Amino acid sequence: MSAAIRLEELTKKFGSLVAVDGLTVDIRPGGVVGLLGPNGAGKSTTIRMLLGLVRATSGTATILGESVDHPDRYMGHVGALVESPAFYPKLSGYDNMRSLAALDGQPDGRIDEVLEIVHLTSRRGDRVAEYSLGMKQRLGIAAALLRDPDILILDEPMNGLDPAGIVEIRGLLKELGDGGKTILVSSHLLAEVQAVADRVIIINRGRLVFEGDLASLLERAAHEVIVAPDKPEDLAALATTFEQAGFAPTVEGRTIRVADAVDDPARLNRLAFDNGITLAELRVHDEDLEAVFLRMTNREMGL
Amino acid sequence: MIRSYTSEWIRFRKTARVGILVMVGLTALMSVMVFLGDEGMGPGGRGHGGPLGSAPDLTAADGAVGAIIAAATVIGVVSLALFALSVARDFEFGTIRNLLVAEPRRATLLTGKLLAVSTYVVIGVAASGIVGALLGLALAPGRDISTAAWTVGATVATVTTTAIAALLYGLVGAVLAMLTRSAAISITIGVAYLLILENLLGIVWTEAGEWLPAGVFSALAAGGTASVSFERSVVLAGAYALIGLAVMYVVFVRRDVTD
Repeated sequence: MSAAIRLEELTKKFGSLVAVDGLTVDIRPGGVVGLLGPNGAGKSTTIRMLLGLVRATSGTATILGESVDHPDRYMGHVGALVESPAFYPKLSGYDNMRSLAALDGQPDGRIDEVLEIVHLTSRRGDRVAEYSLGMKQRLGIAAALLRDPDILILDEPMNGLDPAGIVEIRGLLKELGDGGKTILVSSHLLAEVQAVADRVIIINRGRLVFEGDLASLLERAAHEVIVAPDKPEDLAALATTFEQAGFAPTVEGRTIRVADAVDDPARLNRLAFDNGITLAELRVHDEDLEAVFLRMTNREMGL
Repeated sequence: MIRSYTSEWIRFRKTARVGILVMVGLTALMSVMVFLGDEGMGPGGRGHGGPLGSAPDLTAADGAVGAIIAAATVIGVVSLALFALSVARDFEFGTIRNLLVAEPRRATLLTGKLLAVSTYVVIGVAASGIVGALLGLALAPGRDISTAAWTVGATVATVTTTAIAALLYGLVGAVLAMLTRSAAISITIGVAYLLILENLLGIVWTEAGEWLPAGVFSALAAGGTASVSFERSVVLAGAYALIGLAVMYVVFVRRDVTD
């Protein structure tokens, strides 16, 4: 099956700043893909290149087989929300949508449908200046849905939404993805897309850090045993005991972390007991996805 | 193109309505000034274009819309502001992203936008012409100004040239807005140049008014002046328009949209 979106060595430089650095990614049709990375990672620039707003410095990208150098050939199948939602503040939400619908050749009836989807029907006549950030975000998503696109590209769509709104939008994205549409959702928080994304692309400083499904990402999670002696003064002795037994302990505050004892934590307990040290804590700790994401991106940033 | 035009028509109607009202209001004010003011503004031909346009000959064939002639430059400035607002605010609001997602053919988008704003400006000038003519008809008898030579054809011709000049002023605003992506900056630069700087240039270069945009546009609006014939103003204004359009399209089509 050919890729819905394909990037090959895609690079964008703004002067001496390399915003996107040789990004190579394939996104299959259908489903929700999370584009993750900390602020400034290059997510928005990548999205802008996909939408034809910004030209790549080098490399290529295609959407539905068409080069991003010719956005007019594929944008009819793409809906998008780029960065913060932007509308004319003195016009009503409905008139803003009417303007976009006219530009896109959509009937006014479609406006009512998408406003209903994002639950803005009751506020459609209000000026956008009176909308909260969450309502503007919903309006932005409605605008992206106007043409009933095959590919939906949403840049930080959860920004400004309240928890109930986030759940709603997640449900909507899941439904659209399950319905065969290709959804690319960017975020700087893994938790925001974790519940809906089938696959994630993690970038940092414009470079690809990880691409795959969430299970593969979880395989990169660190597992370790956390041990704490009952008496804090035993901490150094306990660490030495573990070292002498061939482990690689790391003292952190009042605990010791032992990464290479996950398969046999009881051995640590026996070692402590044999040396007359009583343990107050002994547990296996599995890093969660968010921690993996943060570790991967922080490491890339050299933190 | 039609979609882009319709879309801009919807978006810009509130702002355009204000612009049209300002044009009509200024024309009405100018009608009172030229027909009832102490300055005779009787026969004597057309003068050079200035900040408030040319002194009209109220007994000429187009005397009914003498106010339009007098207000041509100010109407041009309003047009400049409307075009600048139309182009720049999409960069300022970030709405240019939405527009280009909906219509990725940039030249088409820009053409529709410019045509929609042009329509609003033409409506504004036409409405100003109608109001000016009606006020002229009403006020002329009170000052014993002869209306014997007034004709509909000449009146329409003057309103038409005023509209063309207003569109040229607007083009200046649009080009500046495209380059600066700021309505305030583009309007300030445009007004400062057209109303002040070019007049100052005229001090050091006496032929400035015959060659530079403000002088040429004013001459066009006035149907020609003593120093710039109508034909010459058409050719020069056309050249400026082509250069301005070329600059604007090249910049818009080629520039990254990072706003």
